[in-house]
Amino acid sequence: MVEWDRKAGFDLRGKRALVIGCSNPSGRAIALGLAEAGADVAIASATMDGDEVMEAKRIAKAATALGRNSLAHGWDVTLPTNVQVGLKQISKEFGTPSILVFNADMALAKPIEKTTDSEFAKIQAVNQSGAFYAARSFLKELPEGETGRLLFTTSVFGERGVENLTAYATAKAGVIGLSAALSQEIAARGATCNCISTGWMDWTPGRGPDDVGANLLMRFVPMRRFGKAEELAALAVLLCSDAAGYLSGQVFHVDGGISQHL
Amino acid sequence: MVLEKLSLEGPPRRVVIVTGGSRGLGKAMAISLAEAGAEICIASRTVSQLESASAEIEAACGRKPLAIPTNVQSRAECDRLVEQTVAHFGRLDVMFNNAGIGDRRGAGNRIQDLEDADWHDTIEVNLHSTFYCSRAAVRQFLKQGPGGAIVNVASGTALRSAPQSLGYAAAKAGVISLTKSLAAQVVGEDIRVNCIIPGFVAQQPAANDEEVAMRKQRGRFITVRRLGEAWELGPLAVFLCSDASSYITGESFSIDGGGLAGGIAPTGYAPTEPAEVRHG
Repeated sequence: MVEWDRKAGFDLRGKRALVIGCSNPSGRAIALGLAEAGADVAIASATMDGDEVMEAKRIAKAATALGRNSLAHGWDVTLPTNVQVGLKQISKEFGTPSILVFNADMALAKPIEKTTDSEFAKIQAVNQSGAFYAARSFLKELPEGETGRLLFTTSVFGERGVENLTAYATAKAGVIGLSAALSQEIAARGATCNCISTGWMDWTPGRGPDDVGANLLMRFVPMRRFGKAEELAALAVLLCSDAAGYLSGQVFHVDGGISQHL
Repeated sequence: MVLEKLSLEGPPRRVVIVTGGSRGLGKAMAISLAEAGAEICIASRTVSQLESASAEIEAACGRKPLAIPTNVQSRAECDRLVEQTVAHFGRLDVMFNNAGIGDRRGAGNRIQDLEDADWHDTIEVNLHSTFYCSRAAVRQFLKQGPGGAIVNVASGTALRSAPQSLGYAAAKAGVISLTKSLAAQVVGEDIRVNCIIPGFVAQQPAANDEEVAMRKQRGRFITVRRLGEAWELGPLAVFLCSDASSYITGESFSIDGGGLAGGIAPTGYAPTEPAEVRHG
């Protein structure tokens, strides 16, 4: 009998993670969830927006307070060179990460005929091209033999049609395709790739008030409430752990049940 | 802190019934749940297997599980399973519907040869049991007040063609559908219903070199180049039973080594010889 080498499900001790994108609260929640599970966490903003860069610094500080190594960078993920050089720099200063969480999120709600070329291009560049550049640079740096874990956050709007979201939906659907294809490409080297797809969350633009009586949108969510960032963290930890080697190429919905009837 | 929510220790300590918990994937998940702090009741038809699984679970967590011989094809026995669990532990928090069997006729089940009994048997054990146990559990949850969770176990065969197992695949597709609809029905009572979809997962460690070689061969057709191992379902089971999955309901989680994403049959099935072509 060959005994199994059973690994703990929620233990990231000794791991190094890179979380990219913290313009919404899920970046903080996932980064600190990984830190809580034992990982050292580097944070890079997805854009050079001042608020996002400052948030990256605050998250790094909070991870340090949990007793982990951490550092923050300001990146623009629409620039492939920035991502590549940035990752090399992180590998040098912090150590090569074996976990990548790509959480860049830039929304746009506009009718298609009012969406300009530059707006469309920007939404694709941040959400989708950024994911590609980040994954590529991450895999280039990932040492042979190291267990790699890639995780993209995406949105139910990439899977279901919602009006006035054409640019955003295109980009988020692209991330799902990227993840599925990549899961096949990197499997033989022991790396996995998954998506967490969120529904309407606390920070989703235009979500309306928390009063279910006054908010028609909320009545569409089976749980009659919007999701909280903390509700993504444990799943992210699970998917990034060594125990999750057989979980790959999937889209996991954290959406209060909405994708089951939308 | 986020990870505290993964604990099933309570208070009160979560009570989980795992049907088909005496061997294979069910036993592996029951052990993980017990280690996460849950009180476990395992149910299965075979008393001897229940006894050995109980000993393993107790060895893993130091608490003796309840073991109730149950035929989940029987509505009355499913009701009794919940009653006895509640009588013993005082409550029920999670119904883990794992019991299931492959087609009775196995690989030989061409539709023209299939008897009614073969079909009914497969559908009853895999789908009816999930309904009976879920109903009994929801009735108990409603007595206790808001809260409760149901986790179903389906199979990757439900999502792609499975010519070797017509009944099994249809029943498991039914389980996935039941998961979605029931989730939407009971969400108002704060009951969550989710599903795990295993691909090709080995039930226990390989017994000998021959089995190791066979698994290696099967693994070549799976994206991650190996079979899954039963323990790998444990963390997912714990997550879905715990408060850490509080915003997830109606969802099915495939754990298949990337097979479904790549369009490879989740069982690792690949024809080794040209398929037989029949004309007329």
